[in-house]
Order: sequence, then structure tokens, then C-alpha cells
Amino acid sequence: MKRLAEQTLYEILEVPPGAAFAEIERACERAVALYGPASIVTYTLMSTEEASQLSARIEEARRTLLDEAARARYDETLGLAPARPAGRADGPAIAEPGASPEAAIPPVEISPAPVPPPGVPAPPPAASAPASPPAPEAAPAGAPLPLTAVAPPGTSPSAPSPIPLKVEAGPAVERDVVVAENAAWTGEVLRRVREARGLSIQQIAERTRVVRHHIENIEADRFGLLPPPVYLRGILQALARELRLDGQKVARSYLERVQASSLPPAQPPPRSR
Amino acid sequence: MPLIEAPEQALRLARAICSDVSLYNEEKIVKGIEQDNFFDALKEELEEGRELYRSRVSPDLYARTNFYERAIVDVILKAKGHVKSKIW
Repeated sequence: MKRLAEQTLYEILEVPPGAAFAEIERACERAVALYGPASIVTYTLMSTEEASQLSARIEEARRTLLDEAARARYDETLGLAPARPAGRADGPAIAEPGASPEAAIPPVEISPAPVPPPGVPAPPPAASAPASPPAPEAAPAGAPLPLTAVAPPGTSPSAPSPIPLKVEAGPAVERDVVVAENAAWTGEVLRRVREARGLSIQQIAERTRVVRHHIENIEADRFGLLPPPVYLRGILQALARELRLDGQKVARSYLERVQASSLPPAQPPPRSR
Repeated sequence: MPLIEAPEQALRLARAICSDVSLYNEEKIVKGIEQDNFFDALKEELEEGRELYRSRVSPDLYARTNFYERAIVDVILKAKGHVKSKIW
């Protein structure tokens, strides 16, 4: 292990060299809390001299890495490319010039007919979903993303108020997601939420231990290829948990649609003479 | 897919289904045992499991055995014997 004096300021704070300002700020607070003079964590681990040296280096890291000009100079001494932080505490999380964060996750339009009539298979998702999503309207930076699920039959899409799902500050791609209350949880909606959380199918498959093709089939509403309901319910709940959604609600809503798609075609009513 | 006629195979299927129910519904099961409403809380999951079991086993074997019920007790409930509840 490197000695304290040999460690870079990034190593002191345990952040990568390209870390965002917000991340560095959090790391400083964490380091002070952990290694500060009053900390009981280091009480038995290091001498007073070492502890004060560490505190001084944390303070140096704070002064240098939170000052853009000082950080650029410091990065130069380390031979690093000038840092292009992904976000500052006082700025938008995604600082890609010319591209707003909303561009990545366009809103979902409300569709009034989510459940296919009994006996009629669900249309293939490729046909209903455009290859390239429509360009979103300009929204103020930091505003919740208007992700609206499909309204179930018998409910007015405009009646329920959207529920903003709390998203903790995390990776830069995470956004607030707004889902309409009483909305039907379709594969499309689940996909949008996953993307809004900044998760790939591979990542969510690893976290939930649900095989990739099940997730793909769920998101594409390929009901005929899904496992039996007893397994599907568990899979949906695991996915919902990972996406920080209400698992019961998601599973029930999705399974209702699966069931509706597998019902035999309704008999036409007898014609009255 | 041919229907299962062998009792051992049917028992194995019942246990496998219950094992998956248990795996995916850990919290719900614990809460159901604690609050003595296990069968109400897990109604949908257990029924879906039973439906799958019934669809794979021959009607005759299904009618004269209770493998699925046994599996619920052996695989789901017994494994949670450590959960504090008045039902024990």
C-alpha cells in the first residue's frame, strides 16, 4: 500500500480521476467523517501525527479538486487529460453540450387501448413502437421526466395524477420518472423506467439473476414466450424491486395483460331478430 | 409435452415449483407466517403454482395425490421454521 504522502488526491478521496464535482464533494464529506480528528474509526488505527497528516491531505484534496483551475493544473502534474466532470453540485447532472438529458429518454405517449381484446394476440412491439423515438419537447433542466404508463381500460388517462417516483441522486443518467397512477405496467413502460434508471438489460439481469431473454421478452410484451405465471410473477417482482417500483402492482398489472391476451376469443352476442 | 404419470416425478415437480415460489417471495412468506395469514397472502402465487403443477401432471395422478400441498408445507413452510409466529 502506498504511503499517505505518495497517494494522489484522488486516491486519498477514493474517487476516480474523472469524478464529478458532486462526487468529490461527497467523498470529502465522507473522508472527513471517517478520518477527522474526532473520528473513533481511526482512533486505534493511526497515531495523532498520521491522523493530522491525513486530515491535511483531505483538506488539500478539497481545495484543489473542487476548484476547476486548480484541478486542471493538478491533473496536468499527474499527466492526466483535463478533467471534464460529468456534473457539478450546482449544475445539471448531464453536461453534454448541445444535448439535454431529456433527449435520451423521451416521454411515453398515453395510449387508451392497452389490453388487446380476448383472443387477439398483442401486436408485435416493433410495429407499435417507432424505431426512433419522437424528439422530446424542451423541458427545464432537472424537471421530472414525464413518463406516463398506458391507462388501463375503463379509466380516463387524464384523471389520475402522475406519481413522481423518487430517484436518489446517483449516476448522472438517473432521472426522476413520473408514472401515472392506475397506469398499466406494460413492457414498454418497464423498459423506459429501466433506461431512466440508467440500467442496461445486462446489468439488470445480473442484479436480479433473471435470464436476459426473459427481460427482453417482458419488455417487448412477447406474452407467448414468457414463462408460466407462477415464475413470471416472481420475475416481475424482482425487476420491479430493482427499478424501485411497487412489485405487487407491477406484477398484477402485467399479469392481467398476459392473461387477457391468452383468453379464448369472445363469442359474438347472438343477433336479435 | 406428455403428462407426468410417475409419482416421483410429480413430487419433484411440485417441490421445484414451491422452491421457486419461496425464492421469489421470501418477504411475503415471512410476513404471512408472522401474521398468520400465509395462505391469504400467498394466494395468487400458490394458485399459479398449482395451475402449473396441474397442467403437467396426469389428471388421475393429480386427483389421487396431494404432492403440491405437501410441497408447500415441506419446501416453503418448514424452511421458515425459525420465523417467530403463533402458528407453530
